[in-house]
Amino acid sequence: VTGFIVTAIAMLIGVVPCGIVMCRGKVMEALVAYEVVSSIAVMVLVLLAQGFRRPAEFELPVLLAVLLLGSGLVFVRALERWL
Amino acid sequence: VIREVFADVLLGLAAAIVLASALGILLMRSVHRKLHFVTPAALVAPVLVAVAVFAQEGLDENTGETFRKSSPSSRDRGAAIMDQLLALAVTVPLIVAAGISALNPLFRNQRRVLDSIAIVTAASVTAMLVVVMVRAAAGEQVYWFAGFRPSHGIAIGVDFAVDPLSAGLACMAALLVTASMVFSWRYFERVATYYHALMLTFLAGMVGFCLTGDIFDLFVWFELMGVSAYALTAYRPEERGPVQGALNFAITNSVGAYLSLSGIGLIYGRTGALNMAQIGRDVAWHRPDGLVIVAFVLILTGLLIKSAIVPFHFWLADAHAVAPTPVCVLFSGVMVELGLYGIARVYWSMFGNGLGHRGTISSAFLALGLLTAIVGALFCFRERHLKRLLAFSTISHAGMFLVGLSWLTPLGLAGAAVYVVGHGLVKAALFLCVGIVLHRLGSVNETWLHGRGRRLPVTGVVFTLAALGLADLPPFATYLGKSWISGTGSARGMAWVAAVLIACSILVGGAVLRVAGGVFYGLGDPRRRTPRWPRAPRRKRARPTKPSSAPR
Repeated sequence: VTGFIVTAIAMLIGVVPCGIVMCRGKVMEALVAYEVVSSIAVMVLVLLAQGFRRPAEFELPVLLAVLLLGSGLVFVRALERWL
Repeated sequence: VIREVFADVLLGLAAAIVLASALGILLMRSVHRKLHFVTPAALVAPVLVAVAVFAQEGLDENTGETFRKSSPSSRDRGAAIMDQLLALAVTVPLIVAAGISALNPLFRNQRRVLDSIAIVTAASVTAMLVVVMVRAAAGEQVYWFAGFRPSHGIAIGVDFAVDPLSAGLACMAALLVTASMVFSWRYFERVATYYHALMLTFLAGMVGFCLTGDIFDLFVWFELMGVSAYALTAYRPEERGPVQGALNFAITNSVGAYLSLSGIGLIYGRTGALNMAQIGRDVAWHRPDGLVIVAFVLILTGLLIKSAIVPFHFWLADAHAVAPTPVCVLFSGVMVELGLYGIARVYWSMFGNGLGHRGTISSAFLALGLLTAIVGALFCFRERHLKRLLAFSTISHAGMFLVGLSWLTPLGLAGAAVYVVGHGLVKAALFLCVGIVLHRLGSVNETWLHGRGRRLPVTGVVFTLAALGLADLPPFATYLGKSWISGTGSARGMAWVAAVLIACSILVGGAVLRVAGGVFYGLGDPRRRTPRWPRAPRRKRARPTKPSSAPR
């Protein structure tokens, strides 16, 4: 077990408080928590790809990051009246 | 050892930052305070992780080798530059979009800076793609990202496979985005937040969709394109109409995307490959069975929904009626056609060699195409809302392009490609003219506008010329493309297809020329031009007055 995998697991713990906010908060609060979770997801995928020494799997976090950029903009555009 | 410790320290720091941000989001009371905790988690932590990965990379020679393979030592310089251009054509708009949305507060009162950045980015992407297109004319080119080249015939990484058709379509998409951004300079009095960033991600999605050689990436770019398009349709999210149109568009297209994704999953389960060329080879090796056929149909259905083929056409007119004009240019001019390009790509790269059933596929495409052409033309002719009228003409033309594909021959495909280019440019001109009419006269209702367009003589001339082009008349590329499509049909002994296509062209061209004559020259009598058959109740309010009521 390398430092990368330990860090990935540690970061996954951060999903729990964000998940609580996503379930119980108002719309915009949930959106904020969701954005943090999505960036955690990208980082966890990078860490796992590096931790298991499978460089071909770096493409997954890259694609996820690209899609999250677009979807984040959509959420902000559609929900900005509640900001 | 020092690098290892350094990497571990960075990782620990990143994890601590992420956990602290998550706690902050849980504990802070207001949204704005919570927002303060997003920045470290979303910006600082990824940088630390990336630095740690690179620090570790220095230790391990084997992994480092993989990264270094991308340096083109043996290949010639031209090919290396070409590779860089291909990657840049997608990454530049994405990076600029991310940059301007991250720095959004700085640009709040400096709209012209944003406009200029977007125009320069789109224009430079167009220039890059022109170079790519010229080089692709010499032969198909494949670019493997990060140098993960296939070994023993198995694709490990993802690639861009560029041929003249895909490069040309990508180039046209970039050209139309540039034109739309230039038009937006004066069209919007106050531009909505993230408009520029969304246009650039839309551009990146379209270019990536054209160039990719990987079926899963095709889906990813399809989604990126779709997601940006939904947000651009709901340009004014505080009104009912735009949100309804965008939801209709988003739900229909997302259903299509899920169908495509299930098809991709099936074909991946069968072949174990995501690279289109590799899938094509594997499908050709085995006798195709029901699973391959189901996968083919599922992937195709998603793309047919995107290209607004009847019975999946209804989202298009609603989206066009509410989207701002520069966005309509992109929807009609190139996005719908990209769906059809996807069909051609999927058929010829993946299934054409192995699937068989050519006659059935050909007849199915022909029937769908003709039905779409006729339905679109009829709805176009009876429409009085200019943007919906042009949207229905796009549906009709999408049907004609599908007829071109349905012959499954090179000449039919070439005809469709030329037709798409001619139609895209002409339709862009028509939408921009409608945008000028809306901006200056404040309406897109043909009956109300009757004769009021005399104030805009130049727009009138351009609109009339473009309308002649849309009617597939000789000096325009649309004529050439269509005559190749119907010529292929006649060679197959189906000359009646040409007659149907000409009838549809007459209806569409007639409708647009009726608008040109009535609005810009006051020809005809507006009161007598009510359609004879009873009108269906309007589903949607017409786009209200001026774009000046844009939000914040």
